[in-house]
Amino acid sequence: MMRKLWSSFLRLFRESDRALLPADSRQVRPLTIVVAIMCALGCLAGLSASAGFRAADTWTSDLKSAMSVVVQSPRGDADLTRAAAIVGRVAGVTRSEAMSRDRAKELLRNYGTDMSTTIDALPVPRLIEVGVVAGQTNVKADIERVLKAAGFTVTVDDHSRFTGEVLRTSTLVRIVAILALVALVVAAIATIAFAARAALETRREAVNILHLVGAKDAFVAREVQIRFLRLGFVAGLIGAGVAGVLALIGTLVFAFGASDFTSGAPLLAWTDVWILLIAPMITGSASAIAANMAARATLRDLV
Amino acid sequence: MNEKTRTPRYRDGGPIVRFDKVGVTYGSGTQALRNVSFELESGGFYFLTGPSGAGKSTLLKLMYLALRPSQGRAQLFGVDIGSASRDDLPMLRRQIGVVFQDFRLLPHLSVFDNVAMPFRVRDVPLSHYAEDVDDLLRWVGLGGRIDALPETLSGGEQQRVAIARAVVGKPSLLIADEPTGNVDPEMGARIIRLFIELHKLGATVVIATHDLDLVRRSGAPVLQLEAGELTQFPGLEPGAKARR
Ligand SMILES: Nc1ncnc2c1ncn2[C@@H]1O[C@H](COP(=O)(O)OP(=O)(O)OP(=O)(O)O)[C@@H](O)[C@H]1O
Ligand SMILES: [Mg+2]
Repeated sequence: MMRKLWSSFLRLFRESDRALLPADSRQVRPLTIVVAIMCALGCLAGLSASAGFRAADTWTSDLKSAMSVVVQSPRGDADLTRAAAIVGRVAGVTRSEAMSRDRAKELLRNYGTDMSTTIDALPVPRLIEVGVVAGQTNVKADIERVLKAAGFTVTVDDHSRFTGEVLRTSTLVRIVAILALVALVVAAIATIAFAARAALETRREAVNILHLVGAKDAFVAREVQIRFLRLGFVAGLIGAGVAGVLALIGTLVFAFGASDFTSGAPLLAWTDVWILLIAPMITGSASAIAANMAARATLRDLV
Repeated sequence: MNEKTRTPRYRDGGPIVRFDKVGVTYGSGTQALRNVSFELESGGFYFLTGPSGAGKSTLLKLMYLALRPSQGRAQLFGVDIGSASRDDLPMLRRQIGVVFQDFRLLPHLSVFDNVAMPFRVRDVPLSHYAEDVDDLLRWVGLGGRIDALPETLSGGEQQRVAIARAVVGKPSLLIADEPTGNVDPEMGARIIRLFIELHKLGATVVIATHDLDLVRRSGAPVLQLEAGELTQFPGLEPGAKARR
């Protein structure tokens, strides 16, 4: 049973020796390689777009679920604790914690440049770390309002500047990836169309004979189409396989040498496997359609 | 486009082929036919003779729709072949069986599949024609070679494959260009018998040949070409020179 299934699966990739317009093996191999490479690049572009989307999503949702309140006055430890308690009662706030002077200093130090000598001279910002339900609107305004009512002067930072930046960057990455994908698809279609035309021209005598025994153009075009469907599907399988392996290697390299920044965006995620799965089908059907249209156009030029 | 023009149908009674002052000039400038006029009755049996280069194959090419006339009007099954749309040609061609002078078999296909070609281009399932193809191949003496490739056959055997392909679909018009040129007299007679059988089934048959013995014995009407001009045709008294 399995053997039979397997052999009928293999038959998909072998041309029947009854094919009326047989493929030219000298043409098939290089063409398969070209289309496979295009498909692999297309898959990588698709995976990049998706990974970019995922990374941006992770970052922005991290940023969106947190705010910081900078208390300008009054700045005493007890005042800060009181302010944190007030913020904790605002709807949509999940966590509200006053930050100690030492941690705030640490945070400043972490900004990278060595300011250890000057930092002690700077006024330490008094901060409240706030966790919020992501997507909840008005939380920022509510916090500002209640603290002002309690006599505090504050600024609330909801990171909107950062999330905007991240979204812009990730959108740009996705647009570039999608443009690359479109360019690859166009190139692949043009390649197939060219090959289909060449295939018909080299088999002109066979095409003439088929016409003379009563074949319609649609029939001849279908014979060509079947061949290119097979070629596109096989090339798509190879290309998606290669892209999968490359993405896996990329993911592993990132995982082992990862900084905090990059580990958020593995190139290959389980949710992206569908890109690799549909690639052969898209390549196969695009190639079949391109071949069919090119064949019909070529046949119209014949007498 | 309406159904009638899509599948042109020949209405019985009129001539199946009608040429009116037809001329053919090839791209090279050769005038292969000039001023050719004649009619073939539906259900007739005709020979086409003439010296080599006289234009016999050219005339037949017009009749099997491989060529359009350069001058004049040619009608087939009542359809003007000079102006017939490309989409109408397949339906017309399916009513015609052709034995090409150079056979024109597909070299990569077996004998069986070459003969089955007219069915395959119409998407007829294998089970509907397998037996007919086998029978016919046995009849032309190739029963043992159905899986052979054309290149492994002799010229005469290839010719018989071409003949089997031409008649297997029971065409209403059979056109044969030198169908007995490469076979021994016994097989030649057998092939002519096959054509006569088809003719009895109602087909119109046109055979181009150099075999004047065969023509004389049959007593069938003759079209004679000389240097691209018709010098004898049905309805014209034999021996009288055609004048227009
Ligand atoms: N495709 C072509 N292009 C140019 N000239 C051609 C072509 N086919 C035939 N001719 C010329 O047209 C003339 C008639 O050729 P045709 O093949 O019709 O002769 P024929 O009567 O069939 O000869 P044969 O008995 O040798 O088969 C010849 O002079 C030939 O050279
Ligand atoms: Mg000839």
